[in-house]
Amino acid sequence: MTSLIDGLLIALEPANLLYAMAGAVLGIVFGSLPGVSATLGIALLVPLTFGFDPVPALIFLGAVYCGAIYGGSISAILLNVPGTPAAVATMIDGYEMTKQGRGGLALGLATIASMIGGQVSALVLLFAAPLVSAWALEIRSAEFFWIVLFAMSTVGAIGTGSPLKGLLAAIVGLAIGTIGAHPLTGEVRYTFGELALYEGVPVVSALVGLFSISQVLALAEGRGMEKQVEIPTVGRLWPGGALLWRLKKHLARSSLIGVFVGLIPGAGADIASFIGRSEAHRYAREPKRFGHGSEEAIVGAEAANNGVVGGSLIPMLTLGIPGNAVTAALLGGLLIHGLIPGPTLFQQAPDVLYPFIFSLFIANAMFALIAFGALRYIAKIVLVPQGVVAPVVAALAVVGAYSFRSIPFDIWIMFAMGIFGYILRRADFPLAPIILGLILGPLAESNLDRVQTLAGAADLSVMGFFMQRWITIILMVLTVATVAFSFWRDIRVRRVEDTRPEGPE
Amino acid sequence: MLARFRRNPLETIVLVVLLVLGIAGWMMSQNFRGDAGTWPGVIMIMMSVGALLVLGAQFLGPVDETAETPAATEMSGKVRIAINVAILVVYILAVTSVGLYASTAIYLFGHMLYLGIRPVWLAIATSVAVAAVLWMFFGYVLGISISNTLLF
Repeated sequence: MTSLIDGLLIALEPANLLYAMAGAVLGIVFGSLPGVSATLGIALLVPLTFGFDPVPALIFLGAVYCGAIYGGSISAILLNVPGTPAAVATMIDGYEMTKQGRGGLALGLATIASMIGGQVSALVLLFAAPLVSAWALEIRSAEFFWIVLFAMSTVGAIGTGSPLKGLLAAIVGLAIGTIGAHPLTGEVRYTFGELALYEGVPVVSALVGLFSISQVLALAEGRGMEKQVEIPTVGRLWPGGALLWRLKKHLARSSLIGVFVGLIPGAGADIASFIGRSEAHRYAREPKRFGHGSEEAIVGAEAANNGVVGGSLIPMLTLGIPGNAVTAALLGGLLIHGLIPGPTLFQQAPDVLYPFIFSLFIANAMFALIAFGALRYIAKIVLVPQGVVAPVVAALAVVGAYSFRSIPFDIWIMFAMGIFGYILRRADFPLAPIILGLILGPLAESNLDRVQTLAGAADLSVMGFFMQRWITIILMVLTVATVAFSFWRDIRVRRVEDTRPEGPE
Repeated sequence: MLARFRRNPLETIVLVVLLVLGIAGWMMSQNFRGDAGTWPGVIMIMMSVGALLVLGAQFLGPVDETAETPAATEMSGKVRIAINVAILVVYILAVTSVGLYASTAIYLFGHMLYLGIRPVWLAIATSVAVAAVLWMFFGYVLGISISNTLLF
């Protein structure tokens, strides 16, 4: 209880409120810029927090996360261009409302729904994370190894278009994670004599390169394709108490959907927003208005995508397992401050974690206040040409990669990962499983090493050791079932497409 | 066979590279002492097998006519990407020889001009402003500098 009160008081300190505000503003800016996702925003800003103390750094990054997921809806509603993948579901009805001259109402509803989704998820995080963390203390190496494999298989197989490619991308990430010294013996692997790789490929450089340089090249592809657009008249933002009261069930349902989806590895804010919208349609008063400017659709999608924030932080903070690319980027922020996410983090650093969690409530309120106060001005950010965005992102990536260890080699690592990421994007491979593999690979290996030692001491094979506890067996079955399910689903979808009659839809 | 390769040649090249890297990585892992080679060995085999499976699905499986073929990059597009990569390489080389913030300002100006930002004064103002903000934050607040460079 003392930790909770202390955490709240630290989060309310004026300096920390300023960090939350700065993070929320930057989050909205990054989120609303088409081509700059929440992941890219956090990846670019993680190195920037290197000089901060851990508490303000996490408060700042947490606020960026909240603001960026919300910010995606601005360009989606005003320009029919989703700022982030999470805003695609919002765009369908949001832009319709803009065309009908009700863009302000759409933005107002998106703001309120995002704020409520975020607050609900922060509340669940506040109470659930310490409980999960206490339970996680009972987890042993064998279980941890299989939890990592389960998370990897889920992210690779379910969260992507092609399960085979998703899993291969996760394995590529694990392979990159084997570079560097072996954690137990110190044997140096795949470094080719490069001392800077002794501790492995730096996560921050890899993260920044994979998501920023690949995106810079993707943005640069579209040179000359920019159209001069104007922001439509926004009008009044506040939707009114009566309308919000009428939408209360959608707000509550979609917020909880977001939290639940956030807990599942591989399922991020984009999936949550579509599920939220679909459930809002199922329980809608006026389902026929969906797709033609429905307020219920916007609320359903936006409460769900911001609900993901708190849910996705639970496995990341308590088990050290990021379920999606944004939390993987955020995990990089924790690592550079010496905070190792996992079961012991709540015991070791409650003075950092509770202020961080309370700051999420503040950040959610802040982006709503900022939006209602200055959205007309912030919305102009969506007009910044991509010819400006791309070079600025590249410059931030270079300075950020260098700032972490002040080794020029890190810039080249970042650049190489960026080129690699761009080629993989062109070859239709997902990038998120790669960064998760890179982060989780060493965790899986160190736990497997412990299992090998324990199995040897108990005169058992590694598989025999795994079979000793029922929870390990459940995790093994879940991992295999996840992969099998994803392949079954993929085959089924292909068969349905093969049997679909050709002709106009 | 050739028609299937042409549907997405880059994918095939990536898969062949991963296959070869997996085999080479597995062979290298056999020389690591103690248990240090166990995990990398397993991962490298999985990478090769995974690449083979995707290649197999690409060349032996049914052709998915409904799937979007990645837009083939025209020669002008390839040249444009190559120029963008070259600009970035020159920038990174300049960072370690000329200096972080001076080269950042010059790079921003050059890349913005190449990407079609006009008028020129807008590119100049944006470049100087961004480089100044980076210098203020990273150089002044965080104290990051690259030694042995011509400028700051």
